[in-house]
Amino acid sequence: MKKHNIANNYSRRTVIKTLGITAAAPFIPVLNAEAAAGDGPKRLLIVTTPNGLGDGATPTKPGADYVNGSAFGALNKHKKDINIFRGIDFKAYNTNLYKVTNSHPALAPHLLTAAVTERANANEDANSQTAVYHSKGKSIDQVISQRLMANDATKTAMPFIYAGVKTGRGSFYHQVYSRAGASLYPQVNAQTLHSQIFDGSDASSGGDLALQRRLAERRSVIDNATAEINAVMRVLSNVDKQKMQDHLDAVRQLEQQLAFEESNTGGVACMPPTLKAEKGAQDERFQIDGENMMDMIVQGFACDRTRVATLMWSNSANGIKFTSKGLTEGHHSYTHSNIFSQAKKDARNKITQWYAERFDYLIKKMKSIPEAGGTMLDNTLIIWTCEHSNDRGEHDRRNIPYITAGSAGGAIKTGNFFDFSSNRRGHGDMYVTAAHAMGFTDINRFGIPEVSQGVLPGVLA
Amino acid sequence: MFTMNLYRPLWVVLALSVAGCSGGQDDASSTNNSSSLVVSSHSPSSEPASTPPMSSVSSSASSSITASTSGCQADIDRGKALYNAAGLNCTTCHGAPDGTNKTPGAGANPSIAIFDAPYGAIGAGKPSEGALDVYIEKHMSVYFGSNCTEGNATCGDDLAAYLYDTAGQNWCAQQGSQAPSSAASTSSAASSAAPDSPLHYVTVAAINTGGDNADGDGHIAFKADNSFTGGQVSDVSGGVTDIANTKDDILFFTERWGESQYELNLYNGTFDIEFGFIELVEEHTAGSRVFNVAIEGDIKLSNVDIVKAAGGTREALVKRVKNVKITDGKLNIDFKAVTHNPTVSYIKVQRIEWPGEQYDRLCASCHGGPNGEKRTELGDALVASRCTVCGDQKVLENYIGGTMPFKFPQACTGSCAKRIADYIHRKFAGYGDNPPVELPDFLDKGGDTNSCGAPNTEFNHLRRVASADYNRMVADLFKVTGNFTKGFSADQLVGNFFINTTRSAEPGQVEQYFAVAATVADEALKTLPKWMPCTDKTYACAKQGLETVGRRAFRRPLTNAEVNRFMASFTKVRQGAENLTIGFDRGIAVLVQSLLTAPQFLYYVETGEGSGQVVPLTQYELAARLALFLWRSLPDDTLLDLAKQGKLKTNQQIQAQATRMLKDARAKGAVMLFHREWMKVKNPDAGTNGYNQQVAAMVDFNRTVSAVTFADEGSYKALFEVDYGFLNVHTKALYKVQGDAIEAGANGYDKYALNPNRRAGLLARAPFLRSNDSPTVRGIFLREHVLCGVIPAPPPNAAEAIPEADDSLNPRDLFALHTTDPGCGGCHVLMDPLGFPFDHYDDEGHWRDRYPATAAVPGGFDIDISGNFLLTDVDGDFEGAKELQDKLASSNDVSQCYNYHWFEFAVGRKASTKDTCSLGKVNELAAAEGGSILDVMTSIVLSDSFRHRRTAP
Repeated sequence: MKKHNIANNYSRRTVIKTLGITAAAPFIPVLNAEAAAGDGPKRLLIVTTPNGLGDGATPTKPGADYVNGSAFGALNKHKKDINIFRGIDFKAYNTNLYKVTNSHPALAPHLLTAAVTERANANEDANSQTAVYHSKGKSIDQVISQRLMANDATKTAMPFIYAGVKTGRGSFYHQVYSRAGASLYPQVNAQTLHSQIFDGSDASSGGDLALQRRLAERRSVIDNATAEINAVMRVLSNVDKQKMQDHLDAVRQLEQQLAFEESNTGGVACMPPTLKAEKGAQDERFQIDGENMMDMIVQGFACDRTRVATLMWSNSANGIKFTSKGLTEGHHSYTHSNIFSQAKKDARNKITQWYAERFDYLIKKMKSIPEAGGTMLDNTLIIWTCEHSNDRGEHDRRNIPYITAGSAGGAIKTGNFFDFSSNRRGHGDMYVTAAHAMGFTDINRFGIPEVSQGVLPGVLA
Repeated sequence: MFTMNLYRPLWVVLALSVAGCSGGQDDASSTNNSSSLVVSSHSPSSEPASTPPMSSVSSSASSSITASTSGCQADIDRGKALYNAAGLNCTTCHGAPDGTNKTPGAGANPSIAIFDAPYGAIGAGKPSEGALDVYIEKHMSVYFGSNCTEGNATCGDDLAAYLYDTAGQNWCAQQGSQAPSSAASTSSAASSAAPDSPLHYVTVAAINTGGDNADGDGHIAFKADNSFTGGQVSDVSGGVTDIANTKDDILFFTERWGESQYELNLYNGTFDIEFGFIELVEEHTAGSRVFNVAIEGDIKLSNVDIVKAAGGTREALVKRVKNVKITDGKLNIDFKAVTHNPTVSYIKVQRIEWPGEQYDRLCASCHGGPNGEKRTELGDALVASRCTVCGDQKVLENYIGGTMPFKFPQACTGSCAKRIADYIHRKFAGYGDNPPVELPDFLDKGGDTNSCGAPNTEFNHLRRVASADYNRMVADLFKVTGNFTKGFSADQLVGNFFINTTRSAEPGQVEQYFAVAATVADEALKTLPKWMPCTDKTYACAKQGLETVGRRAFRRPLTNAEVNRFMASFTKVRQGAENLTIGFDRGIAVLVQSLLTAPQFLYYVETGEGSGQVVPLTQYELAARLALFLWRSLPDDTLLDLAKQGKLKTNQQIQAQATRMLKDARAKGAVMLFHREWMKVKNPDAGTNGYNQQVAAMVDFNRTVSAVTFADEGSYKALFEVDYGFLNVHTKALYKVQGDAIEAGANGYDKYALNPNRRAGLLARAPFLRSNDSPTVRGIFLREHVLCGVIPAPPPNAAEAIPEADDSLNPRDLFALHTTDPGCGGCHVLMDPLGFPFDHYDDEGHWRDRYPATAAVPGGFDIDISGNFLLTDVDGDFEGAKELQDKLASSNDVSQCYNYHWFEFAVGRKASTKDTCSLGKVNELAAAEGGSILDVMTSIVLSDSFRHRRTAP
């Protein structure tokens, strides 16, 4: 990436300059008025990794003195910033309320929505093995994003960042729902995501004048599209109108984002992170891609481009081979067929180690960014989870992994192993707790209400 | 009282008032209809009529069989009347019990349909709220008025009875015949000599006495201790880690000790009660602690001495009391000391599954429900209008006992068959007084020309461009090259094909359309001479350019309104620039972006010509479909000119265009794309093992498909037989090819003969084998997408049903373990014998002679490649992938299925029975022309379905 003289190019703008992960330290502190005024903005980051974790993710002692399992060594140094949970289930399955095939396509939509999952695609064969399942609820990241965007005090240019690390395009990606039945696909192209987040600060065309011109052109194009959509709408049959209406709504959202940028001259511009080139074996590329995505999410937060992000590592049932950990088969195969053989248990723990190292990277990165009251991590709640566990059998829907980091501005007690094994809770309660931590204390149930009881006891500060 | 309930919990309750609950109860018989029909008539030892639990009006209900039958039906009828009472009633908010006509929730709650999924599931329960009748009385009473409150006669009970019965649970049978086994034994002499198949039990209550919620073995959720009086709790979970004789250690860490009583709200019926006991006091020996357990007032376990029976302390003892009859709706258990405090660690209550549950477990996945809902082509619905062997109950019973479930005829014999036959006759549409339903025939994917008449076709939903096609489209328009779709959302699926018709575009994708349009516009400015019809930088030239390229982009001439709108923005942007030269370019860039973000480009907007339900496409729409199908891109000027002149009308005209288009290089791309998507072939991931080999294998796949289709003019058979490939050094190693090439080819890929026994046919090449990398996945692909067969969805607990296995077993034997259950195996016979024959190929497509070694078996295992076709026109046994593909090549089912997939790909949707004629004609015409793949493609563009549009779904 070319070097730009940010200050000259964006003379009217305040500048946050942070450096890419490769250069660790020097940090030019925040000039942003909001950040200087008090607590940093609260953020929520959801991280999903596929195919469950190994038993080495489970600590051995409950409470604050917990001892990390064998796969979580990389996280020892962050112990006081992390919480690990056990006894969190997909309760709707357990109580037999929820007679849905226990397959990846059905589980993934349930993970972040805790809502009923069913085939929502009328054109699919009812019995097709690859039938697309959809959730009837919104996912927690979208719920929080929509709340934040509805309030001028917390509104940002982007409603959320949803990044996918090598997430496939088949029927396994359905996880984030901005409304019932309509899953979103993550942005899997690092360069595209980069321009989406940092375009306003990309001065490659030179200066404010160029920016102004680009904004004017964008407005012309958006106005034309709006006019054409309205014209086309008139000839569509009723059943097709909804698609065009949704398209129009998305265009309007872009228009609002444009208006936000046109008017928000006191906003932020920031130095975008430098993307690293992928090379090496499959899991090395996976790692580099993931680090690029994490860099952009963290920097997007730092620039207050958004306050909600979801990072989806690959997708359920993926077959990535972690050769750097000495493994020869794809991840998915270690979660099927004789899964409690020592070889498969070891393999799952090695993969868990791998993901724990990436989690460590993310935490370190956030800790490297000072914000009012501490670091970015303190103002953020990260939730790491998986679409099933391998606890008691294949595709187990009990003891779903939940690991959190950060306290969302002190709202969460950190440094604990919360074991709900004897007081099992539905995973919707994790999201109720997250909502409370983010300040939305009116959310007292999440997902299927029968299996959501409320905030997890003892977790909120 | 009963605990199983089906209600929709009303966390958002809309105002609801039921006038009906005030009346109709004075003459009610009690809810207790337990003077069991079967038991009292067949069993001399039958108890006298029991005392009704809730009502004082018991006299009419208790004595006679007919009274009890009509009594329970009367409950249902009363419930129905209440539910639908005049004026404001239950339906006001809840709609019909099946959820139709429910009121959309005003708030967060999308609906309050009582049987809305998943609450309609039979046996679904919400124990925390109590039974359905209690719930109604407790929570709905404010709307019912004071007459439907707890303890006030039968309003809640009647409504619950009605709702249960409507949901498919046989209310009367539950109330009356409580012991299916005894019912069977008394009637078996008259019915069938077949032995009874083993009984299945369902758990209706499970309590971890003295403890918290806990998971039991077999995925039974034990509730925290409840419903007790007396006794105290011990918990040794801190100090004890292992309990002998059980997998349920967690249940035995806690106990309730001392004399105690449990009273569980159940419902009338016959139950088995299981107790878990343990001696937690290590000092105790045999005789230290002896106690009795009484159930329903009778001592059922006397002088229980845990240490003596279990053989020591801290060892689990499980005792089961069978056939306990409950007649007052409650289960009462008393623990009484003999020598010392009694103790109990868990209580589990089970009963034999009801006929409806039995049907669901064994039959529903193929046959669907009582009105044919969720039926499949395997067996069809069992409603009277569809089932040929169901009419006579006796015949049906024998049929079930002799042949069902599919491939497991011994799994439901004797009383099981009888119960299910009875259930079908009582519950299913068209039998007895049940209103009949008419269900349409399934689509014959081979079509039928006998159905031809006036042109017919199914509705095409609005289709959005696929990211798979976008690059080609902008390349055709602006002569730009590049991959612009990297950040695009995943395309939606129609069958195996990436076609965007099912859902709206995601907001992120819409954003991408704008972002990419800007990128393409900047690229297009560099290629202006290649696509602009003029060179001067004037308004007139810009307009000419817009009209020329716009006609291709929109697949029709732009309207004046469109031209004027776009040119206005051109002028505005041009005049806002530093100078007119820069302004012209920026204006063109805005025009390009406006075209690429317009719905006329991004969507296939079709209206058809004329009016009516089925109308011909306009000439321009037909041109667009031809280009989309055969080129996966936009029509060229030739097609658009013909459309303008109205010369895409006759078969001859259209066929001539198809023939011309199939000679274009873009047609090769479309044919390759079809085969990759149909066979679910994915590109290899960079950095994976043998990446270069896999990339080269993809080249071979594409070139072979192309050669078979275009050079050889081959048919579907050739896809399964082709024994040459286009190989480079990597694939020669992968496919173990030596010797000279047959023919030199481009880019280092020469044509070689392959070992026909190992690599003939596309199914024996790496791209298919890597992308479909397990026997199950391969088998499913064969069954569903090569044979167009049906495999019902796996049951919800599919993964749980898999037994633990050890690595000393051959993988195929290991797999066979979990197909011994009729609930699983009936489907697996349809796929496993088609998938395992590929096991000489590993998950990357390498040939292997043996299964790999395991810790237990260092030498690995023999590979069993025996296979079997079932429910096809080539049924029978075979060995390995070669014989499998030979059979496929000889199958007419496969031919029709292959053509069906082309039809989906061409028309952009699944076919329905409205396409039956078109499908039939495609098969007929393609065969008449010689049956090549090109013939199939050409036949489709001539079909009614391709050339017409249905104006509304």
